[in-house]
Amino acid sequence: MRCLMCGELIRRDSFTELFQKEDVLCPNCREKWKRISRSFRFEGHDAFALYAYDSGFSECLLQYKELCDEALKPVFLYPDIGMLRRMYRGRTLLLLPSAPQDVEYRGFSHLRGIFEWLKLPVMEPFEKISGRSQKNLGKEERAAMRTDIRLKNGVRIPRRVVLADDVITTGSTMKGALSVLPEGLDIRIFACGLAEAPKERAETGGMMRFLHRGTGFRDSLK
Amino acid sequence: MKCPRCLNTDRRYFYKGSRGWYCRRCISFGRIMLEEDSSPAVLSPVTSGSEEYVLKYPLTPYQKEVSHQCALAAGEQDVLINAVCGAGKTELILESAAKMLAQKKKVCFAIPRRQVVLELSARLQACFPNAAVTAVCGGHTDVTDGDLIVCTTHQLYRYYRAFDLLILDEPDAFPFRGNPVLHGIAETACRGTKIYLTATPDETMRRKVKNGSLLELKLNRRPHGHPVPEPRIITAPSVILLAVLLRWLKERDTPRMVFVPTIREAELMAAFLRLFLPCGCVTSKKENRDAVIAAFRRQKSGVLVATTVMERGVTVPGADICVFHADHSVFDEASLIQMAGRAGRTFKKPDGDVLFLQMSRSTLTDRCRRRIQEVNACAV
Repeated sequence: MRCLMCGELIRRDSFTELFQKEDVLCPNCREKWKRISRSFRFEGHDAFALYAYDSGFSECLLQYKELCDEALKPVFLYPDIGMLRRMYRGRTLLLLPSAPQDVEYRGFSHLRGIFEWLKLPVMEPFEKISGRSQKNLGKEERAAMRTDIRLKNGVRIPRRVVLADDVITTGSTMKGALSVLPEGLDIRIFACGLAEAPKERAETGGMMRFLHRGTGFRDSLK
Repeated sequence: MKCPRCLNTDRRYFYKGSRGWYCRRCISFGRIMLEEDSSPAVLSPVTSGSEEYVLKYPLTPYQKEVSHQCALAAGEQDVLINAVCGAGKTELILESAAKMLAQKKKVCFAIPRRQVVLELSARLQACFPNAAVTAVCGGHTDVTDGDLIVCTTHQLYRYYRAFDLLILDEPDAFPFRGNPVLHGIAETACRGTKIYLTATPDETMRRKVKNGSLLELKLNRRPHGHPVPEPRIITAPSVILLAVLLRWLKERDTPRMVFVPTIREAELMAAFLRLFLPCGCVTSKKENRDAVIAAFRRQKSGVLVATTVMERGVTVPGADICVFHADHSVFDEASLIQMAGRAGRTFKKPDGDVLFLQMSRSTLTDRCRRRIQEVNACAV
């Protein structure tokens, strides 16, 4: 198989490589992504992000979203499909909305492309009211977009859901989506990339939480 | 299947998305659908009077001859101007460009390196005072139209089938060399003929010259008439090479450039030399590169350690050149010739010293010296 970014042949002939997870990127390209696998609390819900939103990740996301390179849709979740399927078993993925003109320009729903690999039920229950794209907007303008989201007419939301987005930057879209969801749902939040260090840690955390306590490890993660 | 932009035919790079097939080899320039028809880029017509040009100094008879022959062939067939480093290649194509502009045809000057674009567009604007010369490169993309367009080879993707004359300067330089995407884009940007300017034509160009599809014009003589300095080659173990280098540096008070193969080696070498004498260091990783180069130019007798990033398009008056580890695999014949060509480029000091230091005998350095000897012999 060839790497979807650089086109190099992905070899699995050294001893250590035999134990690595199967991937659609070569080790060199994957190395540029900073993996954080971080659990945190977002507006009172458990949230999880896989990568830091930095150079390697954003380069891929840019090529996928802005240059419309559909072939890149597996790169974001491929090595973690098994883990994420186990984590979100029995839940429905609710994809956050994109501006209609962006979808029209790309010709495909980029989030559906990323998340269809999990083979979990997927819904796109939200829509943008103004249809404005978030591209080139500042932090405050993005925060104002919070009220720009509504539920599509006649959508029925299942009880156990995962709000899924490609990247959380200011979190305003996510907050907007949370505010229009009905009460009493069991909500988790997932993003492939995370731009800002979250302030609260997850309530659940097991071994990792034990490690974080008083070892200075928490600071090293920031 | 064939990509209309980069001319790729390798099926591995094609992907069928929701809109149809597209090419992934040139995806960094935006998605291009294979089934859709691409229309040529629309540019404004050439303004009258833009073809008038002035030269700062008159051409030598040899330059005049090549310039004239090139202008005769331009528009009819592709031309390779094979001129030694420092022969004044830019001046040679002014007549051809003026001829095409007079016929209201679009002319573009494409260069692999960004810093050369800005420098050259200013020079061309001075030569063509009535023409709108537009520089198009990273950071300068607001205006992309003009009578004469000077751009990086990357920016040619904006001009699908737009140019009647495309002048490719240093097509054997990074990143154009060996980059099939950029080659394809240059091919599709040109609907007329091309002129290649280089001191070191690659194998493909030589093959085209042989089979007659490319007209080669040679200029083996610099304007001042002096030969290109021949490199002296010293083969010895590393420690001795360092001693030789130190002695070479100490006994000169000219600007001295030391080329090394890798960025790491450049840093180590600069640190080592600073124990004995002040020196600057330039690599592609250095952010204050322009400041270091400017400081080196100001000094009458500075020392500069550089990687191949400085091998082309640089004129430091009266410089002496040393290539350390000239047998390293990073260097090829073209880059060795280019580095040696940094010496003796001005009328004031038409000769300079070029020293190749190597740990083992290398066919490349021998070939480089032989090539320089050959062009010097032809020049007499």
